Amino acid sequence: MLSTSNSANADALWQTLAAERPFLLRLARLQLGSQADAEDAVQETLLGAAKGWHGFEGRSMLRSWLTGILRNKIIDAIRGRRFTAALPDQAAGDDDGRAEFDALFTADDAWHPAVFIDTVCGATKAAERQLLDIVELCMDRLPRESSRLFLMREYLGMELAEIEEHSTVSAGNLRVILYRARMRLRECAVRGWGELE
Amino acid sequence: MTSDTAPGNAITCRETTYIVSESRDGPLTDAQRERMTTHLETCAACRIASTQFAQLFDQLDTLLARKPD
Repeated sequence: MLSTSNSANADALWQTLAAERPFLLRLARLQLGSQADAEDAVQETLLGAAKGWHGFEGRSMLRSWLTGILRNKIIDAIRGRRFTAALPDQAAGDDDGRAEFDALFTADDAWHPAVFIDTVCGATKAAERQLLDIVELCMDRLPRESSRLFLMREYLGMELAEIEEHSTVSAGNLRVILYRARMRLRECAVRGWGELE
Repeated sequence: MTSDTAPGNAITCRETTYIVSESRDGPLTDAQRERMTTHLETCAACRIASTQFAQLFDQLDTLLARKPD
């Protein structure tokens, strides 16, 4: 039961919450694999949020609040499993993560001046939503399995040892995958920041 | 991929990116921190890249609700 005074308010609240559903569903589907499990987790999150609406103090954005609620549901689901099967693009590759970024560096491993993007994010608070959209877009471009492992660390906050325990990736490969994801995100984000200027 | 260069050795720009990535997963060693600081003092590109990574991580923390209210 929604804790609002009338059905019109309840509808408006539900519409507000449901607008965040696609983002939440992408996160949940990536981590849980199953569409049905992801739908359940997101539905529980939205229902829980509607019930606890008065606890939302607006200090964080609505999406952040919902993302935090969903996190606990995903962690519980993952910890209830022995491990999550790896997807085909899991392999970190045969190299040690260096080759992909060779073009960014000189032979001496200094940033290559011809390709180095020096844009820093000077946007004001008003552009925060745009900046977050850029990060979200860049994350969507990561390979699926890299993204899943990256978000186990960056979203779920799992320690590296626990991620290894719940996946089939080795410690060395996990470090490489996280490194690659962060480097790719930086490259993608700085290009996006340049577009904002 | 490693940032475990010998103590006291200068590091390259590429090695600073390894350290930046590792810093998201756990505390750096004193030696890593010292090498990073020394390198940043003389490398303008790495100072910029370091700022870019910090901004990106800050936005990730917001997007993924990792920041305390």
